[in-house]
Amino acid sequence: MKKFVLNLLLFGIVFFIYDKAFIVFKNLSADKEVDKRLEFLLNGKINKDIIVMGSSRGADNIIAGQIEKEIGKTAYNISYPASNVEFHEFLLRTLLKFNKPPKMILMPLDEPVEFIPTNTQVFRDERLYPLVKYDYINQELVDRGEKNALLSQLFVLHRINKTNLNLRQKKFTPEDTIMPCGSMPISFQKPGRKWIYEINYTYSTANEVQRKVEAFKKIVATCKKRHIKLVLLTVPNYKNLNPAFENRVRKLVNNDAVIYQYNTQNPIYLDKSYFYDENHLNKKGAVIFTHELADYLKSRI
Amino acid sequence: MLFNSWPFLIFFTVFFVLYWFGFGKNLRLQNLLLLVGSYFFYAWADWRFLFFLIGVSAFNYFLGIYIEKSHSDKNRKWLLYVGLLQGIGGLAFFKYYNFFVVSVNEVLASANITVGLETLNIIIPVGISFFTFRTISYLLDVDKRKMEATKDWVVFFNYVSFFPSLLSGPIDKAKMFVPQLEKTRNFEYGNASEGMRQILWGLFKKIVIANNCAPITTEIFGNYQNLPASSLLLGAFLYTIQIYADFSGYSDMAIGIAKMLGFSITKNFDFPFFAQNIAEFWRKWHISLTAWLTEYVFTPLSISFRDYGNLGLIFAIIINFTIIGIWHGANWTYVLFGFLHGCYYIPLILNGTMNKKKKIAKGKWLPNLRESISVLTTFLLVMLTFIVFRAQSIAEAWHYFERLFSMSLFSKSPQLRIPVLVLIAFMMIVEWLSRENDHVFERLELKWKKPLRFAFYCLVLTTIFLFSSEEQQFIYFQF
Repeated sequence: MKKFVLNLLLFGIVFFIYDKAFIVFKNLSADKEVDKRLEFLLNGKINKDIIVMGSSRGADNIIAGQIEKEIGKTAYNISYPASNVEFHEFLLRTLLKFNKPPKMILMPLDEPVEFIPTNTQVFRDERLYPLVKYDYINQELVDRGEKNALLSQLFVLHRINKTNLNLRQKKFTPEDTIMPCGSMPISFQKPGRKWIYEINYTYSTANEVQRKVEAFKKIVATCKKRHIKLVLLTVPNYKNLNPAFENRVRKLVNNDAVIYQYNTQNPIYLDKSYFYDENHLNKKGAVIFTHELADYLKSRI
Repeated sequence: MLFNSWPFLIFFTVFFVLYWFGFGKNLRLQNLLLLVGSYFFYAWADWRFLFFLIGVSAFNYFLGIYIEKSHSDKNRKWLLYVGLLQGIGGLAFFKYYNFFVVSVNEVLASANITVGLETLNIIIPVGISFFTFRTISYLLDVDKRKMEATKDWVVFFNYVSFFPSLLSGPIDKAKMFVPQLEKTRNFEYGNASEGMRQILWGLFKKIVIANNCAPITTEIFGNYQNLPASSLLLGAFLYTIQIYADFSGYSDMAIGIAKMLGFSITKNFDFPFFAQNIAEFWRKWHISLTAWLTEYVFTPLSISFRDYGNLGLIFAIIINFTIIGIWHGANWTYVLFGFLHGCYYIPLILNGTMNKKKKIAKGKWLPNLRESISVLTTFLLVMLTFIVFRAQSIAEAWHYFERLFSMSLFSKSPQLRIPVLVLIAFMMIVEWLSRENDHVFERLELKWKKPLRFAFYCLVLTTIFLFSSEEQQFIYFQF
């Protein structure tokens, strides 16, 4: 028994020392990222008047730099493609913890998947892993059940994941090029689209994911508490708007947020040459929509 | 409580210390601790059925004693039948009642008869298939006088509920396991370190291989109507690997944990993907179940049908494998899975090679061409049946096959993940190199010096940490 325990202890010590070699990966992986926005948030570098926060509909369709120029207020876009409302709640929490609260948050809604299950919009935890050197990020992964608090303190290998091993400098892709203002408009059209207009669907609250609804309510409540004006946006889609979804959102916000709907009468939103795909504008369309939005915001900030 | 979970690590560490240091000198107390530990482990999974488990244990304990005491053969048989009725009846009610009702309704409906038998909202006790087979094996062995009924209730209750193998096997026969509970166990360094190594490899297979295959197979089988045939082939391949890594990983952990407690339990897998035909595959896959059914079902059946020659043997094999199929659960897909494997035996029975044992590439690094073709063919045959096993219904399996055999088989699958294939290749290479051993790291301390061993453990632990995927339930818990 003594030999067994001693060998076990010896291996434990060897593994503990070996594990520390992976500190290199933990500490360097953040530097190799091309999208620095989350790290800017953690370092308190996003002190702006207006924050755009959402999924790809926020990232592609709204150009924060243009808003800044048109209404004379500082603006920044922290929208992440393929992110869901839980991730947006995390972004807001992080923003308010490390930065000055903004005056206004623009949050595009992801009709119809804002609250219902989908594989296309997730909590982007792979965006968190390059930043695991920050205890705040590690704690978020622990809170989400991805990591164990004690193990992640003891072992670097538990704290990182396989993506941290890639220490090559990341580069922008044509779809994910980020402007200095954080926006990611796309200047071309996605090939092979069917461009089917008018997709009708039935919206049912029975399909909603409670965690998503709670995250959304938390965003609304936090903005109210911190006196931040929350503007929820329906952004141009190459399809019909569903009043049932809009009514659901109105019920959830209970007058604690404003809902802005894009100008559905504007004929350019029926012209596919202004779109990247059925759900996103291209840069040409984003400029027009941002201008329209800036006009609306001028009188409200 | 999953073996690869934080609560189990705490539970087992405390248990291990108490087991050897606190109660190691007193067998009765050590067995009592084992029983309490097993019940705690079971209650953690589902406390509602703990009383059912205790009730089943008590019932079979007394029945075993009465069978042994009974002097009349007729009484012994009656008592045995009561025991079998309880075991098989319990299993039939919990696992198959709703399946039976639905099937009867469907058959009658096809003849325009409406009976309207209603299904029940039944929760299946975790591990029922495993502990029921243990109690049946015990009663059959006592009846056949292959062993004496144990008079020590703590020993018997431990046999039924031994926690390492309670939820997912291996299914130990009483005559092999009960004697181990009755004699003093001494801590042996070799056994404990072998156990830890086996746990490590089991963790690797479960966490790194099975859990990384699971999201891909779920995606492919959930959306097979819209995917190219190459994805469907990939899904079938990965599911075959997943179920092996998941179940053999669990078995390795169970055997390893038992070894650390001084027990030797039945081996469940013997590198089945290196089998050269289906008969060999089943001598290497879920060994404890096939050995159980061979002893208590196939052998009596083949003796009964011996007058019919090969036809009798084929009949016995098909019944045996259909039972193996349906043991997995109440679905026609499992029945078909077992039936197909039974059918795979027919050529082997006809050409007399069913029982031939031939070690692959004995003493060589690589198999020859003939062996390679045999191994690949066997794997392919097994893989095709796992499509049926994984499908929700036979119709779904049929559609899957229809889509699988199309021209898009030669396109690139969007679900292809090279790192997962590399990890699978690593597992297969390590297993290939260990194929003549009892398990992957057997007697490693005699072959490799300590620094090399430690380096290898570090490598395996690194992959476990880095490639750990989203937590997945063990597949065989549902059976």
